[in-house]
Amino acid sequence: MKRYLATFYRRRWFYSILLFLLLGMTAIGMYAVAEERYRSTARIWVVGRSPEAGAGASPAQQQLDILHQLVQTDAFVAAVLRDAIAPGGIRPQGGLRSAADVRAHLAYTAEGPNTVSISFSGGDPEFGPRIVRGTIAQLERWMLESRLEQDAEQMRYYQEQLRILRAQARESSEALRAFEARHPNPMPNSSEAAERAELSRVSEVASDLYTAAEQRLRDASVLETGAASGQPTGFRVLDPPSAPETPSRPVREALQYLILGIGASVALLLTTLVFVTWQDRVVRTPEDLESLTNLPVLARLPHLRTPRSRWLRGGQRRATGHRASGVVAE
Amino acid sequence: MPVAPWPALDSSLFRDLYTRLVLQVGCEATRILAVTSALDGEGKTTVALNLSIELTTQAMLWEPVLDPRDVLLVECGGGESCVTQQYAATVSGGLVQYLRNGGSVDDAPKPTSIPGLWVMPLGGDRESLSLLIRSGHSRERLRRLTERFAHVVLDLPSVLVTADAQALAEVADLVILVVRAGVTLSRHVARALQELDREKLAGIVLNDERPVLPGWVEDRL
Repeated sequence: MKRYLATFYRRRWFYSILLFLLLGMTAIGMYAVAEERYRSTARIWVVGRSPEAGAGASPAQQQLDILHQLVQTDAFVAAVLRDAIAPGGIRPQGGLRSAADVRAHLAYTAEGPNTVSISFSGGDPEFGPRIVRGTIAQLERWMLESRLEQDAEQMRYYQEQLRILRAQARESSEALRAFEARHPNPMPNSSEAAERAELSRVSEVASDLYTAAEQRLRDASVLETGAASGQPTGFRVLDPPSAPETPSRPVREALQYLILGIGASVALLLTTLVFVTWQDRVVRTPEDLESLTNLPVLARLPHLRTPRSRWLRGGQRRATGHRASGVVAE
Repeated sequence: MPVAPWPALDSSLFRDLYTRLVLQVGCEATRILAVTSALDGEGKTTVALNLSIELTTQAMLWEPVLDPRDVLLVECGGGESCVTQQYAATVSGGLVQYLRNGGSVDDAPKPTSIPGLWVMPLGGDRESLSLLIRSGHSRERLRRLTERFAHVVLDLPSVLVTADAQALAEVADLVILVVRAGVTLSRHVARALQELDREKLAGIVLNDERPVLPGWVEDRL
């Protein structure tokens, strides 16, 4: 360890400049090699009321959760890609090959309780907006289909309820008619009159229930029709995506390149240090001599500065007046 | 005219060297001390000169009655020292002439401005020295210098550059190897040690050492 540090310290300016140059060259190289990316962003407004603080997820967060789960499915992303490629069948530059490619560069985030932004960064400035539009379109389609399924389920339930209530109303009505046919004029306050009143009441209740269920079914039918005709599905597009004119370099990717460049430069410097130290066969310390020769080191004469450096540093000249010599004299 | 020696470094550094030489290897009894290195440019001449100054100081300080107590620095082709720079290569009375012609040990050494410190320049070219030191006479003459001087410090050439260093090291009682931190390769040090007599090696002087790490980092490791 000490030898490597000594190697660095001996030529510290050289290695520092070398590291600086390597970092600079790496940064320039990475910047040149890095693919230009064009970022296209859209914003949507999610319909819904924000819950009280801490009471639950906001509409934007709920929408994000749905979108995130959908994006994880290959079918959704494949549909997005189909939508994006479909116009003219033109594939994007830079080779978007798979759902994983789209997933890797598709980003979505909540910008408020009701606002969600969806963005895509890729090498083709024209393709990004198509991916974002495709994502919004597929999300809208999925939500509509979910709503329809939900409404259809509800419809079947109401219809079943209606069938049951219709049967009950018919039975009670037939029971009343049969009783009136056997007892056309029952005496007041007689048991027949009381039974007739009870049957009449049951028939009325059954009829009312049937009427109410019929009304509910009618209302559900209106909603289903309304949903199928394209009425609001839960969100609106605030800011449609547009083709960016200038590339953007995401900070995250730039940091990755920077860290990689720094790592590569430091690794190269360390490799150089190790190699230079390994190659160094020069005697530098008394320990080197004692391990090499097994002889005692009788004296250690320090390096003395040259006359010029001594003058530059304001050192004193020798009193003898002779031209001061360096240590090594022959 | 006395030779002005090369500007001295901080004497405390070489006092430590001297102390270790005395404590670890019994330098006080050593008469001929050789300083060399694996290759050129590692600081052996500086170490040889400053060690000579320190030996002179110690001899003057603690051995006032020692006779002899002067110290001689002999330039054996270790490099372009101030001695050679101040004197032409054909100066008379140098080591080459002394080994070739013999003569008194008082003739070749030159006094310096430091009392008790003498220097003997090469006094010729290295090729001549190479031819001379191969003979037993030359080695004997080098040993005779100890009759006049308490310590003789030989500034040898580099071990891996010329074989003269090994030949001259045989004359010495102790050899010090100078290694320059941050410059000398370990394999050169190992090869230099193979060329020298391990029995005579007193130790190593690490020259031009720089801190490998800042102090606050060292404290935490």
